[in-house]
Amino acid sequence: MKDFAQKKLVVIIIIFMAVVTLITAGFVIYYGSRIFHILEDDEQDSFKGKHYAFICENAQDDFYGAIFEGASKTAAEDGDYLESMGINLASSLDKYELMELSIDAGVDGIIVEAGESDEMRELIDRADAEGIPVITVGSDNTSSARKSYVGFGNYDLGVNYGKELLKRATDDEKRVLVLMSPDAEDSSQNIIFQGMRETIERAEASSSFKLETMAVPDTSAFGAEESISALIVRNDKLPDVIICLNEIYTTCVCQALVDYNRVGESVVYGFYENSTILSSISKNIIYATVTMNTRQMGSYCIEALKEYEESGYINEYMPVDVRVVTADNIDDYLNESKGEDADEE
Amino acid sequence: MKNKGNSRREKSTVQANMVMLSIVTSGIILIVNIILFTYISRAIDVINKVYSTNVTIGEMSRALSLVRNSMTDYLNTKSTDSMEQYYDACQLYRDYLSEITLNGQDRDTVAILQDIEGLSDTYLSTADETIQAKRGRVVERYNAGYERSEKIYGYINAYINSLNNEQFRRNSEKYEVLRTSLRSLAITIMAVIVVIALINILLTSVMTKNILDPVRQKEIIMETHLKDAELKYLQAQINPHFLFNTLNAGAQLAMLEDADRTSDYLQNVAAFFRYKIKGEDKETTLEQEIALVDNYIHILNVRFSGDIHYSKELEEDCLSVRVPGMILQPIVENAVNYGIRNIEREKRIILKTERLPELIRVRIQDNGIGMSEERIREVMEGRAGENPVMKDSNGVGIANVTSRLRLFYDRDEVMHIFSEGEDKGTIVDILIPIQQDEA
Repeated sequence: MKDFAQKKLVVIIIIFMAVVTLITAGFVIYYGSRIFHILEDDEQDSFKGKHYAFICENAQDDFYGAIFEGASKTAAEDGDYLESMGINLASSLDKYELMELSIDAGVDGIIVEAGESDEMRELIDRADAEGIPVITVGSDNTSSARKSYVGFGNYDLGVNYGKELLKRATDDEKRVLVLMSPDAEDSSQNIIFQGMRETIERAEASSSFKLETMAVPDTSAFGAEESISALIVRNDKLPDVIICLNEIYTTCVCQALVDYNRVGESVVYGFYENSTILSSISKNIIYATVTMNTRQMGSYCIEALKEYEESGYINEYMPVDVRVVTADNIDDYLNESKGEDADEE
Repeated sequence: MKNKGNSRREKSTVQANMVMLSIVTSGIILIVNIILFTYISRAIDVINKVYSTNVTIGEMSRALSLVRNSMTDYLNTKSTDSMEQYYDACQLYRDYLSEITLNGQDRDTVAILQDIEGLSDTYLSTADETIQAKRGRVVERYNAGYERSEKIYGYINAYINSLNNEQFRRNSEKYEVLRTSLRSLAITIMAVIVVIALINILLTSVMTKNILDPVRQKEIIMETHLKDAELKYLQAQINPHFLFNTLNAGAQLAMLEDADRTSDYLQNVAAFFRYKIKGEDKETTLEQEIALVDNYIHILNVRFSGDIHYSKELEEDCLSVRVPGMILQPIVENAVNYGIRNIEREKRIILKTERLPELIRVRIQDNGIGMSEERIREVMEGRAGENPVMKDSNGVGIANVTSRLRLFYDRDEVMHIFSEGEDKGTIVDILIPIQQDEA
């Protein structure tokens, strides 16, 4: 009887030992394979396809950030890679230097927020001469050898703003302030302004609006915010309407109106969207924003490059849809974009 | 016999089990350690590899700056040396560039590397053009070329730096994984060794339980004692029986042959030894003690041709008093050996009992050579060593007798020795207190 109990104990101990051995083996194999495969773990993340460059004025900008994201995703689908030029470098380079860098690095294609400057035109031409196709996005350089422009028509955008203004036409003259970039060479904003003015003129409502422009100086690094704050604080009477022609101005205006408690004194039209802008619309801090499907824009850029590689020919202009988002339709808009995000995932 | 075989078998099984156990556990520990060491050596390889890319990138960067410096040098001096140096540096840089293998071929890294390759091609061709222009003394061209190459050089360096940083970050991540993996592995293995050690102890204790069981231990001791007792019992049984039977047989034989004195002698010897064997620790009566002295003197008188004159003066009422065994015979033996053995005159021993008011005095008196005062003191204090020459002594000395008497009666005053001087004989008095029940 005693022997039997003892044997049982021995058997239990042996089973226990086997379990311990198995667990150990598991641990050892797990950690061991981690050690052995430590050098191989991320090779599958590589790419074998084309290497494109994406260049914009300000990589932190949500608008271009979203375009880059959309383009990058589309590129990855075909095993290509879109490099946001300069983001890997310690020093910050302007977009002309980045163009030069991309050309010298011999990338397979360039997507650039161009602008109508001669320097950019020369660079685009040089890239084209070296066999690098260039797609302009958001801001065109019409006279260059770029293969295609992906974006909204600036004139159309101006027309959109104009139509929105006309809704507010009364007998009283309204002061309209358009916040513009000081870059004289950047004619895209001038075209927007022109579209706006001509729309109002065509409707014979010129007397209802006094259009003014203000070039927001950005000579210093964070100058835009400073000058917009100054504009809101120093003027006893704010303009009746403020139109912002880029995302950063829009955000700054939202913030300044709230900070200095002047919400409601002006009707603000913004450009593009971010969380601040969208929530400001919901709270009626600003009236509306003009936005577009940026991911789709990015995607178009890559498609344009691919198409050019395959056929050697593409449309010079690939328009994207522009939408005006106000407090009335913001919920629908948010639901739609949520749906899009879900589709992508 | 059967029992012994069983225990031996048991022992050998236990031994085999223990050996098995230690082989198995040492084997496991050995294997575990081999695994650990394999991983550690692999880990060291990995560490070497991990940071080697940073080293390569550093060397690449140095080669690039060598290209630039030698080109600048050539533009400055147009010397053949710097020209040679320039071509060597270009080759070195190209070699590094083609050989570089990175840790983690992820998209960003590959892109950076492609940029570096593209920029390097442009840089080297620009540098070549610049050198050509310098040779052709086309000042404007080589100035422009120099400027352009400087710019590209800046880009390449920026990319190399960012690649280096990126690799360093990645390598640090890998190193971290490695470190945690190794640590976890070490902890696991330590735990395993501890567990195995515990199991080992447990198993060993289970296996040796039989041997170390205190009950079983007691049993073994008891067995040993029993065997010891058996042996002693047999010794005790065989010897006296054999001795007395032999002596009695001798006595009967002597009687049959009408040798009465021989028969007497043998009976005395038998009686003497029977008494001796009974032991000196036993309690007896004075009468029996005196009978032993009678036997002893009888034996001596046969041995020494009856020249000891032995007389007794006994008071009847003293004889039944209880005394410790073997107290008179040793004193008589002493009297014979030291007192009267070597005297020329008639040898005489008188044994006398006398009842005094509170005690009985037993006196043994001889007419031998007597004792000096000093000798008496020595004997009484037990300082007088036994004479080793006296081979037929019974080994019980005066000191022994006194100490037993003292223990038995619980009093100091138990013996007196008197001697009036040389050749005046010795008197030994034994004082036995009369106890209540005996009075």
